[in-house]
Amino acid sequence: MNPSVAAAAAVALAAALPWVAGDAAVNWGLLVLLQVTVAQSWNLLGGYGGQVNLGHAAFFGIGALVTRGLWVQGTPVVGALVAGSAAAAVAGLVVGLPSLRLRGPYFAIGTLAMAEILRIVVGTTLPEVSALPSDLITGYRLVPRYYLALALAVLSTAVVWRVSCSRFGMGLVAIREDEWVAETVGVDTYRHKLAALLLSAALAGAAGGAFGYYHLSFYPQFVFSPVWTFDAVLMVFLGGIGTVWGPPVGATFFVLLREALALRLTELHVLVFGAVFVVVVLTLPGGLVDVARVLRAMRVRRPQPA
Amino acid sequence: MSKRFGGVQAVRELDLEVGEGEIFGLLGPNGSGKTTVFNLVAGVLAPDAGEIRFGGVLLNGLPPHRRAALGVARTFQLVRSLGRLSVADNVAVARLYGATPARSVDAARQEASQLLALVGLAGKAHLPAASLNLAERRRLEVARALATRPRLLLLDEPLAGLNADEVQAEVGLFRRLREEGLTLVLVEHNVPAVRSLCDRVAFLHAGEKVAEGSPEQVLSHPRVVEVYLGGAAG
Ligand SMILES: Nc1ncnc2c1ncn2[C@@H]1O[C@H](COP(=O)(O)OP(=O)(O)OP(=O)(O)O)[C@@H](O)[C@H]1O
Ligand SMILES: [Mg+2]
Repeated sequence: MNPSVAAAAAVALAAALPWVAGDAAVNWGLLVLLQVTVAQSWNLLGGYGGQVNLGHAAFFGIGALVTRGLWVQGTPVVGALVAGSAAAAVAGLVVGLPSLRLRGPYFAIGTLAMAEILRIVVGTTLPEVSALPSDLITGYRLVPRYYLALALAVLSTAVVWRVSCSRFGMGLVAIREDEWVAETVGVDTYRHKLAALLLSAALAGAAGGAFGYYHLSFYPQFVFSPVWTFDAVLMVFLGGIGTVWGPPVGATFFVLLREALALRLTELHVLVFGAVFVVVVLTLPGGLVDVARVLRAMRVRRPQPA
Repeated sequence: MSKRFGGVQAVRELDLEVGEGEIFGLLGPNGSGKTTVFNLVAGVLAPDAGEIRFGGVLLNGLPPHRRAALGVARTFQLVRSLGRLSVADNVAVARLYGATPARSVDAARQEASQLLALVGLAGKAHLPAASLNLAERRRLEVARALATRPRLLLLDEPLAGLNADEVQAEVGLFRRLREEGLTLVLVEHNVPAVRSLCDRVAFLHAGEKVAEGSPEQVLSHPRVVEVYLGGAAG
C-alpha cells in the first residue's frame, strides 16, 4: 500500500476510535498517540541528525509541568500547551548552545546530566503529588484529550515528513553520516543541529503538556523519569530509526506489547523490552517498517521448487 | 602560514599564491604537510600564524561551511562519503549548499545526476555510497566537491588507486574544469599526470617550500631530486 494512503487510513481509524470503542480503548489509544509524538521528536534529532539525546525526558517533563501549572491556574489549555512547548525549547537551547558546538559525546552527556539534575531538583522542590482541583475533575472528559494527542501525533509526524524531504533534512542526514563532509560542502552544522534540537524539544514539550492535561494525578518527578527517554529510543529503534513511519509503528507496537504483558514493574519492563530491542535490532536493523522489504528480498532469494 | 601539531611543525612559514584559472600542483614526500595546507585553506584547521586570502577575502577565522559558500571546495585524501545515502544524494546534498545552491531538492537531484554522468558514476546513482569501491569513491568526492559550484577546487590525491584509463578520464575532466574557469590545486604523487596537467607546482619538504615553478623546473631541482631519491617516497 502507498504510504500516504496507509497514513490517511490510520488517521481516519484513530479519529473514529472514540465513537466505536469504550474508555479503556480510548485511554490506550491516547497513550499510543502520546508516545508517537515522544518517539517522533526524538527521531527528528537522533534519527535524522544523528545527535543522541539521552535526556529527552527533561523536555517532556518541562512541558508537562509548565502546561499543567498554567492550565490549573486558568490559562486556556492551548495557550498553556504552547507555553510548555516553548519552555522545553528554551531548555533545549540552554543545553544545546554549548554542547552542540563540540563533536563527540558532549551532547549526549549534557542532555543526560540536565535531565537527571532537573529530576532531582523537581523531586526535592515539588515532593507532593500533583492532583487536579475538584472543579477540573468534575469537568474532566477523556475524548478532547484523546484528540489533542491525535493532533500532536499527526503534527509531529507531518513535521518529520516535511523535514525528511527538505534541504534542511538533507543537511541533517549529511551531518549524521559525516559531520566533516557536511561542513565541507557548506552545511552550517551547528545551526542545523540547534534548529533540529529546538523542534525536537518543542514537540517533546507539547507531548508532555498533553500528558499534564490528561493525567489526573502524578508525582511531578515522574514526568522527568529516564523511562520517557529510554521508551522513546526503544520505540524509534523498534519502528525504524531515521524514517517517517518508524516511530508511529514502533510506538503502537511498544504500547500494545506493554499493555498486553501488563508490565507495571519498571525493572521487568526494562528487561523484557531490552530483550525485544536486541532481537529486533539484530534481525531487522531497519526496524519493523523494514519487514516488508526484508520479506520481499527473502522471497526473491528462495530457490524455486523444481 | 604555519601550523604545528605538538612537536611536529607540519607547515613552516609557507607562502603560496595560486592564480585564478591555474592548475597548481602541490608535491612533496609523505608527511611533508600537503594535506595540512588543504585543511588550513578549507578551514578544518586554524593556522598558528599567517593569513589565508581567497580572492581578496581574508579566510582566517571563517568556519568551513562559510568558505564553501565563498567557493572553496575540497576532496579528502582518505575518502569520506555519506555512507548510507545513495550516491546521487551524496552529490545532491552538496548541490543544496555550497556557493550557489540549487533552488529545490528536486532540482538538486537532477543536477546531481548530471554531475555523476560527468565523473562516470551515472550507473551507480541509486546504490548506497558505502557500496562503492575506492576508485569510484574518489570520483564521487570530485562530483560532490563540484556540486558546491566552487571557484577553487582542492584535490587531495584524486588519482591514487585509479587505473590508467581512469587516470586519463580524470585528467581530461580536470582540464575541462579549468577551461570552464575553475582554479585547481592538486596534491598528487603521479608525476606524469602532474607534468601534463599543472601550470605550476610547489614542492614541500618537512612543511617548507623547497622549490616552486613549472613542473619541469621543480622536478629537476637538485633538492627535489635529492628528497625524492633519498626518501624513496612518492
Ligand atoms: N591532525 C593532526 N594532528 C597531529 N598531527 C598531524 C595532524 N595532521 C597532520 N599531522 C602531522 O603533520 C605532518 C604533515 O602531515 P600531512 O598530512 O599534512 O602530510 P602530507 O604531505 O599530506 O602527507 P601524505 O603524502 O602522507 O598525505 C605529519 O607529520 C603528520 O603526522
Ligand atoms: Mg596528505
